[in-house]
Amino acid sequence: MSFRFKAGEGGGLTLAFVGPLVVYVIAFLVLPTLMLLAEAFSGKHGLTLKYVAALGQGQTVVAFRNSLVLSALAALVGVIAGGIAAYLVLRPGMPRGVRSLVTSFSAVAANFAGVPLAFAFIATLGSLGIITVWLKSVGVDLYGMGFSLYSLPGLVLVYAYFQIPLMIIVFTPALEALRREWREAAENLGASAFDYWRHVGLPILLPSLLSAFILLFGNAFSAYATPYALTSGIVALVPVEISNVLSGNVMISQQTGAALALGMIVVMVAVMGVYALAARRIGRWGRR
Amino acid sequence: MPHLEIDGAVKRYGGKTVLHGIDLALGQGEFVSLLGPSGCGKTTLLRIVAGFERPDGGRVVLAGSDITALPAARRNMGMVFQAYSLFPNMTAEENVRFGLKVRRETPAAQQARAAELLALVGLAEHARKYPHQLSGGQQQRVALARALAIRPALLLLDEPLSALDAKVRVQLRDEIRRIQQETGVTTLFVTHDQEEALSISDRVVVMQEGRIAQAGTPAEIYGEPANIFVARFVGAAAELRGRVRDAEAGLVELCGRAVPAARARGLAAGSDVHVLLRPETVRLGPPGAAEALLEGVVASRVFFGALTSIRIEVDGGFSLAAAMPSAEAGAVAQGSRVSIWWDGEAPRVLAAG
Amino acid sequence: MRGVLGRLLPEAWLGLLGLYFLVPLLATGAFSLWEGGSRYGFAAYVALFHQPKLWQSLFLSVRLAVETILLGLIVLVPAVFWLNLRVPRLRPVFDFISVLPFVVPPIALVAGMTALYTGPDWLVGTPNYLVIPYVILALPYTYRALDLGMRVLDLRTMTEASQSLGAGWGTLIFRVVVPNLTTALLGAALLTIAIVMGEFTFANILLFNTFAVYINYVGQTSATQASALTLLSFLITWLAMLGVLVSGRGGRSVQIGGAR
Repeated sequence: MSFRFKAGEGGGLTLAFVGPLVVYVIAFLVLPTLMLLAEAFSGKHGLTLKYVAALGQGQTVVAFRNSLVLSALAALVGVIAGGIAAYLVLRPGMPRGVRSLVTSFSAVAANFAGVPLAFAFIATLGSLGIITVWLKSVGVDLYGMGFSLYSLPGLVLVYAYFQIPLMIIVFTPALEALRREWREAAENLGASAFDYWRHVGLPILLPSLLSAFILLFGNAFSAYATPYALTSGIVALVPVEISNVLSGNVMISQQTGAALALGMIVVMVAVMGVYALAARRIGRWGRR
Repeated sequence: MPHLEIDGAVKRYGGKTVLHGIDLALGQGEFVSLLGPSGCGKTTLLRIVAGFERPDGGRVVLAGSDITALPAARRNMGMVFQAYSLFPNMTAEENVRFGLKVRRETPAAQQARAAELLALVGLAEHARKYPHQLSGGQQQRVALARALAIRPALLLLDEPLSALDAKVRVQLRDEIRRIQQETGVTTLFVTHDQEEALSISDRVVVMQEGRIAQAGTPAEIYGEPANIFVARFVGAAAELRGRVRDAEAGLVELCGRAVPAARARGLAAGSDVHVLLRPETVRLGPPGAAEALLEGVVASRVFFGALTSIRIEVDGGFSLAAAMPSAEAGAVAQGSRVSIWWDGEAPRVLAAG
Repeated sequence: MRGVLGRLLPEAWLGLLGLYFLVPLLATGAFSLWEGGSRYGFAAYVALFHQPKLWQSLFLSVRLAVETILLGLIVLVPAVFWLNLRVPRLRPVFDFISVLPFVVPPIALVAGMTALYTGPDWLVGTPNYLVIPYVILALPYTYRALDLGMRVLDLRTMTEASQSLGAGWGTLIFRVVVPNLTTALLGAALLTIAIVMGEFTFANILLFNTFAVYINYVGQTSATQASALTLLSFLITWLAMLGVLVSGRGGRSVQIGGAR
């Protein structure tokens, strides 16, 4: 990427128009990230790997493991449930109203994450939630059986509320790109539904499924407000650990917090990278 | 026994009847085109034969067995679609092998058959290419190879050439006919392009609004249209209204003049008729010619390459189109007066109303 | 999927899913109407509306949203304008920049920002400080909306016409281009509102009393009031998304932002 054109006549104007944006992004996105980088590697006497290495131990590794597992599960649930839902809604038999209902509700639900969502689930399946109480009255003691909303499985259940709609939004275009002609051609040549999905449908959808999974994974991984409001520390997660550091919790040092944040960024970079690669692959089979 | 028989096929969508009881029979090895404007039901009929739609009435019988209720996957027919025929995630060869793979043939058999068919459609060296690397015409050839690979009882083609460039279209339709004759597969071909239908079919079935308007050989359809719809849809013609002057002698009254029209024989005297003249049957000459039936002024000329179409404003207030080889058309200048005549057998006469 | 079971399955699955999405909302609604014992009424709502803190936090969030929109537009409009007019080669750079905020999760960004910027006090100590990271959070969506809106305009002709009539860059942008971007601006504004109203991470860490923080605070003290607020929050999100859908006229323009 050459910036040579910035110098000279046109360059001056370009600087004036585009400059503010670049400066803004550098100042408030790039520099803070670099700051984290610096902090994560700086000890009392200069550069050190101590804090980054500490990511692999104790409390922080638990947090990382939990975050990765939670994100993977939440992404899986979202991809499977959302994928099936999107497929069903797009089938020719479905009345038109269902389709627009699902689309508009998905738009809202995908944005409904955070504190209010956590409270909604507490009101529903918390220890005194309406469903919990109702089930108890018919003889099913949820919490007695070991279920808890304030646990990893509970979080997956709550995360699904914004993961599934996100999947529907992101995956519908991919499903729409599955031409009816391919299904009919396969049928015409003697393929069963299984044959079709195995040889044609799923292979074509695979890049989109993968990129959707990656997107959902990244989305779940970065979540802070929802787990905070729901579990406030019961389940160790990377975002919550970072917030503990920032609020002055002395159990974890400043630098470890920075290392954690850096770790998050590294994971997200990998996520976005895979997503970009998959998107390019999808483009290859597009039209024609 | 006919190879394929459609018996009273009826199809309704919502409140609308799209097929009003179609009867059609195809002999083994026959190439039959379903020709008609959009919405006439030709594609619906094809899809019923393929098994993608269930008829609301009637039967489909293939080689003596009733297949009306049989799912599409079990009908052993090969279909070529208008667009997006090929599976994008497979090479040309893999596409052609698909039907055989699904039938659990051995890989060796699959490969041999695929090679055979790709050679038949002239694409042997493109076997490893993906659909997006092939041109439209090439893709349709692969689709044809794929359909034929399974040795289908019936080959179905749903406007396979409509999405292609004009030149490719002509090339490919001749290819399709050649391959069909070589393999001898019974074929049902849907198109809205009458030139396509006329040039490659054994028989043409013209459809209008869910009914068969006429079924016959291309020559019959073109030369002896059974009704005004077929006459209008197939080929160009000047359409004139007249009255039968003398049914015995074959004379029709057009704009006050009596003109010969042999096919008026058999129609009631004095009845209103449509008189149809194909442009190529109209003869022009200098004004005052002995054979002249009518006279008029040349209004415009349109150059079509081999042919030139000449529009004439006839005395008496109607216009007529004549078509002649461009070499001869040079003699007819715009604005000049001409004599017009035709051979008595030429005009088609159809009862009006 | 033929046969009776096959026919029932799609409806059953969608029905189950619909239940999953509806029940928490209904439960929240029911909870918010509970007044203790077996009495039901709007006491929670009434109590809510009498809390000055609610209105303070709500107005704060709204004000921050407006400020975020303004600052975001000031930074982005000239840049996207120039991109579409003169430097289309820079598009990959812009696309990269617009995706960057996703790579740095809010929680990481706030960690970096607090380490880096400790002053000046008149900014960092006030809630207005939040606007700065909020612009970053909204960047991907605002950029996309503006870019799509500008791509369909014939900027070159507009520019040449105005300049030949004597207009300067400022007049051009604010009097000519922006009025043609109303749909795009509306979409961007609505998404920003949804993001800011729901934003929790920054506000909570930096200890500012925005709407989302207030909801959390109420949750510690009164569950019924928190439920009422939850429903209201859902309503706000729903209205904002409806606005986006209507103005964008298509599901494709919908994206996700806000707290997670």
